[in-house]
Amino acid sequence: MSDAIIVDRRSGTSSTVAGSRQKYKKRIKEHLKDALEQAIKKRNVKNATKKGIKVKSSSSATSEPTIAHDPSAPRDGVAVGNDKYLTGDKEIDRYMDGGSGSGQASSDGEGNDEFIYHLNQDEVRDLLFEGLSLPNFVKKVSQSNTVKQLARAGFSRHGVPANLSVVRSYKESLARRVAIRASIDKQIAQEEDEEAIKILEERKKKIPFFEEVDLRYVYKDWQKKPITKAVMYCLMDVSASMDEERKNLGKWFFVLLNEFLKACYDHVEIVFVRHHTEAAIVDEKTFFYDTISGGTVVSSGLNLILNDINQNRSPERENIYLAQVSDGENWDSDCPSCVKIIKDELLNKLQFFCYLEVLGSQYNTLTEVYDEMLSKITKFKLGRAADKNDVYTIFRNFFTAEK
Amino acid sequence: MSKHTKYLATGSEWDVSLIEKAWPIIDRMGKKYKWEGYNPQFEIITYDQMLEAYSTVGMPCCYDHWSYGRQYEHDKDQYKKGLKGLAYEMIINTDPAITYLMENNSACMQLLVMAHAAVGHNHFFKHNYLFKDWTDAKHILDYLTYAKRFIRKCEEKYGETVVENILDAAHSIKMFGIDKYQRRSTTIQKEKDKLLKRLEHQEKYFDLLFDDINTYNKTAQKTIKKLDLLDDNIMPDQDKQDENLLYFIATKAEHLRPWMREILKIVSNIAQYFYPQYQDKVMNEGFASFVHYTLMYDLYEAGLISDGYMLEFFDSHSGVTFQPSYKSKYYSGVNPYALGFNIFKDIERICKNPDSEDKKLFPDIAGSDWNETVNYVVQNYKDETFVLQFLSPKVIKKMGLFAYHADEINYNRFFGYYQRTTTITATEADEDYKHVKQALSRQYSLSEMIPTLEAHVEKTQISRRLILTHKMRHSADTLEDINLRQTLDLLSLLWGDTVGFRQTHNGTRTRDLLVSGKPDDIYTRRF
Repeated sequence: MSDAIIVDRRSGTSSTVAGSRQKYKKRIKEHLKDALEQAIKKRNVKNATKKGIKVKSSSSATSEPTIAHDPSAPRDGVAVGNDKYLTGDKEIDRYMDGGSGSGQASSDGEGNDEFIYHLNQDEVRDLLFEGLSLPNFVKKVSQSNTVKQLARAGFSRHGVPANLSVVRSYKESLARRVAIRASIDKQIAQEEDEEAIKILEERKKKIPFFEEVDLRYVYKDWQKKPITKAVMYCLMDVSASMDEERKNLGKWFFVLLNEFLKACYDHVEIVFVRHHTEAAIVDEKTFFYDTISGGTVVSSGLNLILNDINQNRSPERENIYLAQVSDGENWDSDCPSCVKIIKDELLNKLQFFCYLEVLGSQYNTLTEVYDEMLSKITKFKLGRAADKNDVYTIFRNFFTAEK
Repeated sequence: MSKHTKYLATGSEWDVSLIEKAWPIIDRMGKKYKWEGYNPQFEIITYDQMLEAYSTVGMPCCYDHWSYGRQYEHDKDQYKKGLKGLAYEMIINTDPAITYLMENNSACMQLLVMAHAAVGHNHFFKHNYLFKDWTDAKHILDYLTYAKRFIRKCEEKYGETVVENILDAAHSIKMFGIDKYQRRSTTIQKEKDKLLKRLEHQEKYFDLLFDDINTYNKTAQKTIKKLDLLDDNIMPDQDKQDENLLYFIATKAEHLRPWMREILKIVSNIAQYFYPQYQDKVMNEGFASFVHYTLMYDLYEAGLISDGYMLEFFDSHSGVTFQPSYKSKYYSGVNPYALGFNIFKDIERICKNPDSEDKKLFPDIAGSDWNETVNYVVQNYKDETFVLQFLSPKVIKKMGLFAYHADEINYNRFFGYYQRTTTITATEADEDYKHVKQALSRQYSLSEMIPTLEAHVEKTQISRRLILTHKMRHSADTLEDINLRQTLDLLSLLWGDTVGFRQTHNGTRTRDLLVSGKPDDIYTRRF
């Protein structure tokens, strides 16, 4: 009757609360996105996409209202640990119901409370970059663009224990054992002597289950797999007109772009180009951290990119993209030549060209020229950003997949 | 020494064999005091599974709802930050009694868990009258499984949004979805018997010559309809003022589909199951602590556990029954473990060694058999009556209990913060200690913890309104405003029409609030 049952549930993988967590996540998804963006603003994009992030927010979507007494109404109670009071004493600031000190309780009810959700890196990536993709990402497959991958290529008699194919080996061992058993049975059939038959029966029992000769290993071989490559040119204006704030906005855009590409695509090459009167291809660290200044000639950057494409890349085999950030200022005489380069030569080599103006000044001739000349072209997208929120919105705008 | 070989365990490591070896011994020791619960089912779990159990109040199976997900995330965060520890044990009111043992408890703690939960709480669940009358330990798990499946089917068939809206609304009045005074099944049976008798009587005395057959049929039909409703577990004549709001809405709302009504009933039944736990916290925890205290000593006396284990036990016990004073930053009200344990220990003392004060105040139990008295108390009291009957001046003095009245919180403009004036109304230094006792007992009464609400229907020319009336305890007994409005919003989804709220004090109405609703609102996403 009192036979207690003991159950060890430690290794159980089924969770009683998984469905509820899913529902919770769905419910706070919108708010999670906002909260995530706030959190990302602290320049934690890189960590977030690698390790995940914890997100705090308060929202009425997670409130569970009920009808309850107002805690600030007059009430009676009992407290513990009387050390000095007598009946009739009055105390003004101390709360006897657990709040310490004064001025802490607020008399309005709680409609909002903080919630905390743990997001791992996949969830961060999904939320942050949901619905985004490189536009016009055409499958341009060619022989020279290949990558080597290990793929299964049959079985072999040699290999490492990790690659042991149990099923295959078992098949071979079965065949061997059946054959040996058959030959022993044949001998038994011919044998008359009791003793000899006994010995043969024993031998039958001792046939080894697995032998070296049975073992089969999975064989993997390097195979060339054609992949579609993409190249993203990041062009940033570092002239004198770009002050700290503008440069930060520009860098923020490129950080988002960088993380997006790294998280969502396998084979994207990112080329960082910065220009003032002259242009140079730099590495990631220099691009984001190094300071430099000068005048503004945008065509230098465009020319450099064009040359690079002509020399080192082939548009037929790669998807090439260009993202440019500037404050819109440029030598007036330079603007037409910029447009000419873009319209005549660059655009037919690019899949997509996006331009972001950060905190455009009153002299944003470049932006106006772009807007006028290029806005009709589908491959081109233009955005104007005044703060980080705008940058994020425009970033999403640029790369939202059009149905 | 030969004593050492008798130890149930040494060191802190443990495995399943410890449970198998120790449980029959502990069980037998408990039975000596006539402490026996349902057959226990020990489940060994990880800390993560304990967090999961927390989020659904221990139930191993419950329907999905976002609030459980939120509770889990919140608890996990608190635990990881080290702000809140996990209980070392958890047991639920089922037959067999599911008792969770955490894998990283020490061996001594597992013995303590078995004494505290598998003997103490378990016995309490089986014998306390509130649990006996209001909960069905044998069938609750099956019911929860049914609930989970039913709700999931509704989600698949009708969509997640509408089901979520219904559950949100039902949860908001969960505490008001309880039959407070009579267990429904007993009244249904009585009601059925009454109606059947009536039918028999009518048939027997129907006179072909003098009675109209149509009237007879009509009345008979009415009675048969009521019987049908009873078969579906619906009480037919409770349409005046009903306190079970969920039930009221389930039966009276016009625009709800049958499956929606069933969901409301599910929430109501589950709330009903948890109802006793709010009213028995002090007794339950106090008794379980009392049991583990007694049994650990017995184990020690029998040479089954070492001095080291007793030290570990003392450490845990004093932590659990620690009562910070009102001045301490750890103070969060009266600790039910401390209060309950102190009172039970005091009852034991009054039985074993009563002094003159005890004999005067507790003539019925002074000098009686402590075991019988404790068991009798466990069976027949709840927190409110337990404190009222057995809280003695000695315990009041020991804990330094004092009663106070706090005025409204108001904002002090001069100093720029909120303050409230507190007047001490009774202390242990008073001649008549009854005031403190009564004040504390009142804190555990249901009407103090939950506002008293009643529902009725009002028909106007344009709408059929659901009116909730709050019976105020005194003229300044207000309700939390924002929460109230949000709840009324949710209720209007269920009711499909206007929902009104009223406050009355001594018969006079002091407040009116109306929230409109349409039948289709329940299908739309709320945010």
